[in-house]
Amino acid sequence: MRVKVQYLGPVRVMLDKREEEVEVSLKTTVYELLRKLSNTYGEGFEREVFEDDGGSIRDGLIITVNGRAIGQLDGVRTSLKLGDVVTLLPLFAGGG
Amino acid sequence: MNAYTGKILYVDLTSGRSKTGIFNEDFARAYIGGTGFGIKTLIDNQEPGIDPFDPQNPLIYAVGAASGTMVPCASSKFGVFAKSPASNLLGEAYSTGQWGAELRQAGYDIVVIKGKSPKPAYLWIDDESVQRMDASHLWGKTTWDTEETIRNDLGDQLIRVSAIGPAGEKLVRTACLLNDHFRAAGRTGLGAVAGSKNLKAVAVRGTHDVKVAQPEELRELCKDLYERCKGPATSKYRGLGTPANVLTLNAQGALPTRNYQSATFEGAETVSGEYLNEHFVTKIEGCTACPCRCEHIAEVREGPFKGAIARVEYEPTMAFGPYCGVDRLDAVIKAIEYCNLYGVDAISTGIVVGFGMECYERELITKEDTGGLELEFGNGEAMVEMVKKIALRKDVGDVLAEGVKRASEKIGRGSEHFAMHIKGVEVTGYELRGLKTCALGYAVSRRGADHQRHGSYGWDLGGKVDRFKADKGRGKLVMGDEDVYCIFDSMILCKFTRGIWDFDLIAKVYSLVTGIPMTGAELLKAGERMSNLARLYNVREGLTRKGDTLPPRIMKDPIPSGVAKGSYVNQEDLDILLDGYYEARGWTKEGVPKKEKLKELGLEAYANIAGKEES
Repeated sequence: MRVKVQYLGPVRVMLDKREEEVEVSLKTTVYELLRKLSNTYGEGFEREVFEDDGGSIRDGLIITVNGRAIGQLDGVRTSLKLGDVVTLLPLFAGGG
Repeated sequence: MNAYTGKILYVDLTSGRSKTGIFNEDFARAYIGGTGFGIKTLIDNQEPGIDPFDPQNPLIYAVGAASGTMVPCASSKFGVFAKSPASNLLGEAYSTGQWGAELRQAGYDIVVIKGKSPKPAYLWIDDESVQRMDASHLWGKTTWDTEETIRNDLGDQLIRVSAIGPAGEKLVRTACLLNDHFRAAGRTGLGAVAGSKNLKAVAVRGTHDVKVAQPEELRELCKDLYERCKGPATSKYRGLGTPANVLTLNAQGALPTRNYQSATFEGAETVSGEYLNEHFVTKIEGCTACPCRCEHIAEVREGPFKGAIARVEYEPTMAFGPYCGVDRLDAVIKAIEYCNLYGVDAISTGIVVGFGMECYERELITKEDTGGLELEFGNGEAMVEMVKKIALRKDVGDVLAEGVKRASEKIGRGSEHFAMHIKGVEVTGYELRGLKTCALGYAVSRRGADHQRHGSYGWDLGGKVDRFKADKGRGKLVMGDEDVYCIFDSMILCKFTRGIWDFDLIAKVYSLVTGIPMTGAELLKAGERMSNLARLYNVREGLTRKGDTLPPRIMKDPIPSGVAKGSYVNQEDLDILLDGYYEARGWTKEGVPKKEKLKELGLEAYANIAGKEES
């Protein structure tokens, strides 16, 4: 099935793309999607998205599914459906 | 003492005389530096209830525990404190650059300035020499011209200058103190306090070494800290910088737009951090002892604002971009440049202009009032010109210069409903209607509407709590955030390095720098002490539970569209949030620290402020 992935911030700059459609299996989790993208885009992407342990999402990066932060869903185990929109958003402290 | 100078400089601008006081290790241990030093010095040196423009309102500078040392991202910051002319409560603002380290090197940790000079003056601190200098030739100059002139007059290009612009001279309530070109003690109108004293600037040159207790051990630790400060925990600040928050907050329906009329902005892409870096950023600069270097300097190379140059962060981008409905960054950069030169806080002034735009569109002010400007949302040229009018108190700028609270009281006709302030201080860049933990942080923030005393939007936006619901548990979260940030703002550590620190590490650095034994738990207790002392100060100056509130628009008008559509913070929500916070804090239902809390924190001396205790 296809899901849409949107990129903001450093990941957008790194990949030079704002969004894309990604083909994944039914009931793919957010973690599995991000792993697939890491395998596609390599170490730079992996470093932006995952902590050094490779299992948890980097502090300061928000992942949403259809606008809802995954922390309010099932975390990285959140299961995706056809047409879901997954967005990677960096959150900065301060800034004035 | 090590690192600490142990010295407080007291200046009487009326007579031009100064004297030095001292503080001991007990004071240092209890209050650390920065925030703690500033709040403690203010509450002990200011007569209760005075007017912020009274000459006896002390204008206080305080450096951090690690100022002037090799500790990365902790060497240069300083705080400025006084009774605020915006809120009539605690005025507090922090800046960085190079000024803070210079003051420590000159031999002072705290400067307390009272009185009023008979003529425009600047204070010249040259190591032990302290002089009140004539500033008649500086009055009316921009902040940048003031710095350049002082350096030329005194023959030393390494003098650091904290200066007001014309706005501070004219007692504009959003006036700031600017140093090192692009850095400001911006919020709560402290530039106006300086102006009320006829104080144009504080110039400082310091040539003493700052000796730390254990230099070899500290050096080894700092080598590791330097690498971590340059690592993945801070990379996004070096890369796109904080303006990247524009698209993040827009996507989450959390971007204050058109004076809080909505929470998403259709023009967000062209005022985003991504767009800024691609089209306008020319270099990245840093502060003293900073390996991160986060200052994104943007320049406009063509068009009506050609030549404008400013350091651009998220908050001013929000304030002059979406908040004013403006979707062009050249106008945003020009507006920030004017704020720097004329000496007004970019955040507050953007919010004031946005308020002015709504007043204009509702025909509460006219084109005659604006001096011919069509002050409509989206009009970048008018926005830029209005910044100047506010700073110079021209046309309706004279009313707007009072800040949105007082301006709306004067304009009336329902404008109070959309005057976006808390305790008289203008809101900042997080749409509180859909971020209820953050809304609590803002409602109780000791210096008025503010994100920097707590950072509690992290819980909401990070999905760690349900941001659309209010519950009593948020109180403990906000309390924890506030006390942690008190530590950061006392050491003073750059919040961009938050990811590399834990409290035991901060305590270890503190001990290596000062030689004073400290644990993480003791530091947290000191943070709690500062939060409570600040509350006591505000209670003394008249704050009650009623003041811990949110603007009417946030409490009555739901977000109209986007992922946060329908959300707002009603009175029931606010009461739940406040009750939970006061309980977590050990305060009464009116928000007054209870006696047992004062005893626990060694603040019994202020028990008279707490007064007769209610349950």
